[in-house]
Amino acid sequence: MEAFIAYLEAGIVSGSIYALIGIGMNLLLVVSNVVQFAYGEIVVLSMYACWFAHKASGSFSLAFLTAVVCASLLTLLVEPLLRGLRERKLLTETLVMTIAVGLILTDLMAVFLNSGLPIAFPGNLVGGGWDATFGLIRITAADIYVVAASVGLMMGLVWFLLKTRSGKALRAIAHNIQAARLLGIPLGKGTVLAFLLAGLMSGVTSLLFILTMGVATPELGEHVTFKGMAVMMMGGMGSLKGAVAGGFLLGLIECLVRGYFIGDWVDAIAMGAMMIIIIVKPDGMFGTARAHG
Amino acid sequence: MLSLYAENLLLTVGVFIILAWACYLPLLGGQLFNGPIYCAALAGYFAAYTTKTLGWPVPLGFFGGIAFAGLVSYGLAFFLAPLTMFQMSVVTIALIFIFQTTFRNLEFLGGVTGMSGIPSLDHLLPITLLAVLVFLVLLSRLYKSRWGRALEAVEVDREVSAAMGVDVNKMSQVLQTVSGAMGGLAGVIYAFNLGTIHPDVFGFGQLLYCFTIVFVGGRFTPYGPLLMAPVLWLIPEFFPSAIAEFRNIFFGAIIIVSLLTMPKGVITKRVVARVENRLKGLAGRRA
Repeated sequence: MEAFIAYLEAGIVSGSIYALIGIGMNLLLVVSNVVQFAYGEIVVLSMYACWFAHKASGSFSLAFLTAVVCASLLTLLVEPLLRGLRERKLLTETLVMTIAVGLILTDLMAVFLNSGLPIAFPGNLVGGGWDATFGLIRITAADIYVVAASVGLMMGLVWFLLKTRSGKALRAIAHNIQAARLLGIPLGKGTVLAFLLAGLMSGVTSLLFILTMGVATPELGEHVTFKGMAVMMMGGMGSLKGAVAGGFLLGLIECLVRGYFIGDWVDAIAMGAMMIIIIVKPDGMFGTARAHG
Repeated sequence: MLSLYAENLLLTVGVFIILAWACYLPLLGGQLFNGPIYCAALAGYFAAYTTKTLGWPVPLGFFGGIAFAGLVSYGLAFFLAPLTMFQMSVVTIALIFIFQTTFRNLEFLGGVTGMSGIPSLDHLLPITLLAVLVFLVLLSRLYKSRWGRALEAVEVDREVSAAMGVDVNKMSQVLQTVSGAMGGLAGVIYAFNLGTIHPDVFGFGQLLYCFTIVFVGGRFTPYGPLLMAPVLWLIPEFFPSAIAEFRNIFFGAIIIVSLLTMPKGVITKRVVARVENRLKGLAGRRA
């Protein structure tokens, strides 16, 4: 039972991060109809930016800021690449474009950054500095920071979407783009705002990965992207509450599989679970009938 | 007589033409189906295991691998057929992940190091070239046929096509099965040519090559892969070895530039029609 609780705790922590990834990717999907396959690569590149900034300055706060700025800028830079294709409704091409961007970023990291070797963050940063152990259950400060940051960011996003003028504009674009256009909502600005928000979320995600994992490799980006995809598909494409549910479900499945299965079956079983959900309910747990693509 | 190097290069180009066509075929019906990649791995492993470990005759392993990949694709198609383009793309990429993880964990398939010492198949190059020729003829005919137009209609609007009597799900199942078997063919050619296969051989790198070939070549006609596969495989041959590691960056950059400047690719329907008209004019003048 103790082991089960320990796995649950780990699942909630990783689920919080997956939920954030899913929310960021879903935000881009509902507002700009883009499935951002380079999302994970941007998260990992921001981890590299943080690592280099810390190495150069020795300051954690400057390094964290660098990661968030790097993620926001990179996400914003992808937007103009997709604009023409989106306007011509070439959805397959937008997907392929983001896959190409992701693969370029992965290879740039593999070739140019730290000679392609994994990066490791200082030990006093990973884990958050202190921990409390109850038998098999170990709760670190990083676990608490991660859950608090995720929940805080989610609540902040909900407040932004429900209470602010720009947030309401984003919701209008997501709900009915034609009506939003007729009402005079600037679609271009809305799309850029969605990319900026997704960029900020990917920046924060990179910090949470630093706190919990403490290492990064160029190939990590692919995995992060597919966790995000799995979360989107499980929860329902375009559904923010679905992303939260999907994120926690994926986190729990992964930690339970890691705990109870021998061998490296985590990815296969997590992806298999996603496939079962899609087969049983093609629109995901909270998906709407709105078909993307 | 070709040198071993030239033969290998031709076989690799052949494998990627077939793989690209396997990706192109479902795209005709608006499906971003990445199944050819995992089907190639499944067929390659099947052929390797049956011929090396079980001692099957090589031709039996060759055709068995293709049939196995086609069957798996057929079985999965029942679940995948109703999915939208985005869902299909994500689920089939997830399947690449699942099969790679499975291969890594199965010791009888060599685990992470894979299998080597796979017996070779005689006349592999002529078989590959013949396969490319047959697929070219079939896909060219499909491109101009009633089926081809029905596929195009499904790509433009799935719901309207279904309302007009096109059995969209059945069409998707057929496309996935044929595409999977084509991927399987590419996989067995690869395995018998190199004599080795490992879990990372058919992954995202290969998906990028296929996308580059299909999208830069032009995804609306079958002729794009025939042009782009040789070009993309021959250009890096002239790269100095020092910059060979930039191959994926180069391919990715080509996709981005191509999608920005020529979203429909190099060989579009208009280009094909123009070439056909010119050929007809030449034939008329000779007559």
